[in-house]
Amino acid sequence: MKESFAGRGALKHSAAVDSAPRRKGVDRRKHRFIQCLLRMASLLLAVAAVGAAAIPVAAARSGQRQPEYSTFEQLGGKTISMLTGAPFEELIGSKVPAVGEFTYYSAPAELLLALRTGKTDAFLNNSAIAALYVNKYKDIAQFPEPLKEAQFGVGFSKKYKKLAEWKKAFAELDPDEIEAVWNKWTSADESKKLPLKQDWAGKAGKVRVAVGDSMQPASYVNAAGDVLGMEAEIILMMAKKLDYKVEFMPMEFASLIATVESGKADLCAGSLIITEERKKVLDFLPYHETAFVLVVRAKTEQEETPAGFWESLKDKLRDTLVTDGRYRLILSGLGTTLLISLCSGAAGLILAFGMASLRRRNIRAVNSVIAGYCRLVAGLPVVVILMILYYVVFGSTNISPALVATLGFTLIFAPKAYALINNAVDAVDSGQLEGALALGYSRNQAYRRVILPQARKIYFPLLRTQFSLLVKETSVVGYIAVVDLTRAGDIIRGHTLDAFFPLLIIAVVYFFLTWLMSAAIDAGSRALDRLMKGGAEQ
Amino acid sequence: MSFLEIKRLRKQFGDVTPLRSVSFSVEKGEVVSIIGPSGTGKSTLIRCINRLETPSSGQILLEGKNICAPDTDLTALRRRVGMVFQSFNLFGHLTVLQNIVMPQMDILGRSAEDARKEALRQLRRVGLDSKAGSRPEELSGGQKQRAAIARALAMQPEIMLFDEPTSALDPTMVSEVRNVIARLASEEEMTMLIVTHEMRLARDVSTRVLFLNDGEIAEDGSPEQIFDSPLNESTRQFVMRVNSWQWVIDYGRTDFFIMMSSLEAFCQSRFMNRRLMNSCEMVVEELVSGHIQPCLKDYDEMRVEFRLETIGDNESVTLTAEFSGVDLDPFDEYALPMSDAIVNSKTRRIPQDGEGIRVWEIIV
Repeated sequence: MKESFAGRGALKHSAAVDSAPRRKGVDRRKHRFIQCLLRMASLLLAVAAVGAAAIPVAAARSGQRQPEYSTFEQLGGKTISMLTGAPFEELIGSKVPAVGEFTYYSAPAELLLALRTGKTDAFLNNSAIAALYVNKYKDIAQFPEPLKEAQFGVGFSKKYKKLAEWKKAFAELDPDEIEAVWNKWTSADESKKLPLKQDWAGKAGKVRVAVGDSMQPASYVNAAGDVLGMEAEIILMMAKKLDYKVEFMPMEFASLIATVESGKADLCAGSLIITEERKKVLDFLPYHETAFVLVVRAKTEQEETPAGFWESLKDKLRDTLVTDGRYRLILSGLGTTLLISLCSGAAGLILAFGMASLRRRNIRAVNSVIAGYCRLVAGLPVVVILMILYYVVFGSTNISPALVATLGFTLIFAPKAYALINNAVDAVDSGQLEGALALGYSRNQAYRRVILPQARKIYFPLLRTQFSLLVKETSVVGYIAVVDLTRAGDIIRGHTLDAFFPLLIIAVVYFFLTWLMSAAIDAGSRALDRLMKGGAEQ
Repeated sequence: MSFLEIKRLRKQFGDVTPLRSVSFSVEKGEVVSIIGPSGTGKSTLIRCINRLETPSSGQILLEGKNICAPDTDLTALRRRVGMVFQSFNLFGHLTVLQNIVMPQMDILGRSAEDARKEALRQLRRVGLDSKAGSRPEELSGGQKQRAAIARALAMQPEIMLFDEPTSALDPTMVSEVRNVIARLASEEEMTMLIVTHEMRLARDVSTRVLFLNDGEIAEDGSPEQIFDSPLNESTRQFVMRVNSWQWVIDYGRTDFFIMMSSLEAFCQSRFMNRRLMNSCEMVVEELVSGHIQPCLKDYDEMRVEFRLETIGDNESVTLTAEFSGVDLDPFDEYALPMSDAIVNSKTRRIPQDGEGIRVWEIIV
């Protein structure tokens, strides 16, 4: 440009035009920063407010412990809760005259929170969980009459032929020792609940055991990923006798049976109660009797002065994050969420561009395959796609669940990105293509150099939104045994038996994650713009 | 051997056949305009020459080589043939300079430095070097078209095709584009093929004019021949029609505002000067408000047809009014003195033999 006076004029002109928007950009960035501070402040305020509401309950009432209700008559008209899907309404109804209302929660820790905050008056659960909760919390008590006797059992795959051998090993165990294990894991004393060791050779081979990762006291994992719990310990006691090495596979309770059924594991454990229905798909080794019992609030004589607001907030935060190094669980969950969403976002984008360029060839068969695939994905819930991939498509392989999740979300993200890109390409005026062709561009070159850069302006902001949604959508990967951010929160809740704080922390982390990612994508695209502009300006 | 030779070219889209059989040839350095009524395939014809359309049959020979052959390298062909579109088709994501630089680098493999030099040279040629850093959306229509011309020229084409280069422009911007094309023709001796509705462009710029009618070349001659003494009756009618404005006032159902703006558009398209345009508009307005509207109040079945005709470069402008449906002469029987005075001062009456017709020559 140096050699022509007019050219220099042009350069000056363009510089003058450029600087105004840049200044404006700084203002806008400042504005955005303030907006974001405000948003954060309101979030923290909400946290504090909800925390303040929840904490006084946490400051336990104590005194002489008597159940608030001790006869079925007294429960008449009250609210009774249970886990979602537990079929006990009829059983309760046959004993309690006129139950006020049944409510349902998805995890034992949530039942506990509901009872302690007065949202419900009693909840039903097995005697192991009831014993642990009652031992740990002074403000609740077990209802004196059990509802129904039952048996805990270790589930065995029907394909696994060594059930008899395990039954024999169980028969050789000392019943007192089993009782001691039960008492240890249901007690309030956390100091004895140590990670389980396997100090034998394991000459007889390996056995894969699917265990619930948040089914305290039966089985659960700590932040380091070690498996704990009475059922896990009993399995190890048998395995020691048989000289098996046990490979634990921690996962969500809902995935246990499907995992064993599909042959991904040989055994499963995690508070499984033997039922006729479950017997159809699994063989069982009964190892302890249990009962369905009700847990109610305790009657209190006197109120203890509640701990100070900040004190209990600190305790809660410590419990959720610091104790047992639980922040590590959140960090590794965050890493998994990040990895799955970034990898599937990138792979999905590549797939989408591939499909978009295939579509331009206009081959009818290919187009209808693409359309069919998009319609299929659009018509299925995300969880269903993931479970089909994990349990059916890759059912018999030993592929890592995180990889399956990445693949699944790639397949889910690609059609959305594809539709956005296509619409954007179609929205570019057809004259642009003709202009390029007339200059001597080939169709592919014209697409790359002229059409796509203009389409990008249209599809990019929408794609960014879709990516934020993708990050949040990955929160269901717990269904296929991946410990992501959401699952990490579930596991912590299983430990602390506090539903509130882990959820809150997970929410905050998700919020900042999606927000930072959006900002990062924006910054990346601006850098790309500058790079491309510089390239063409040279 | 002619530079470009077109033999029995036919193009069919489904049931429609815009080009039936077109044959003509163009020598190097010639500037050929193609005129004709809308829908006669003028644009289709020119788009066949760089194969944006594929002809149904016939041959197009560029330096003796048939470019309709199936093995033709289209990108190589299009490098030799520049094209300017009605809708400019500047790339919206690039500045004017980048619009001209990028194709040179991508297609001709020029270095960034050479491409930039060439782009600036072409921009100076079309008088747009001060807009090099602007985005297409910041330019006026005329500037956009000049930038598009510079972009095509920078590829050093052997022939330039113009597909209605002024049709999408405001009348006020037509002349800047026309002047650029005229300079290309006179100074650079560029071979050009121009499809246009703009008769002045065809008349001033071309060395030859083709009149395309009904999918065939109806007449091929110099601009003077085509515009002043056409041999073919259809050419004569077409040339007369584009040189005249017509409006029918039918049973009092005419919207006079639309009529006046149509007249104004016509005057602009003929590049009348301000005073001549004012005279035309005042005369028509006074004839309507002073004679026709009062008469319509009494005789609502009256029908009046106005026709404004220009000859040459507006050397003579005549207004004809033919009326029917009434026994009397509205221009005699209904007359406001004020209107009469204005009409008389702006026109000279040309006596006519027949009944129901009046002719005035507009004077400035």
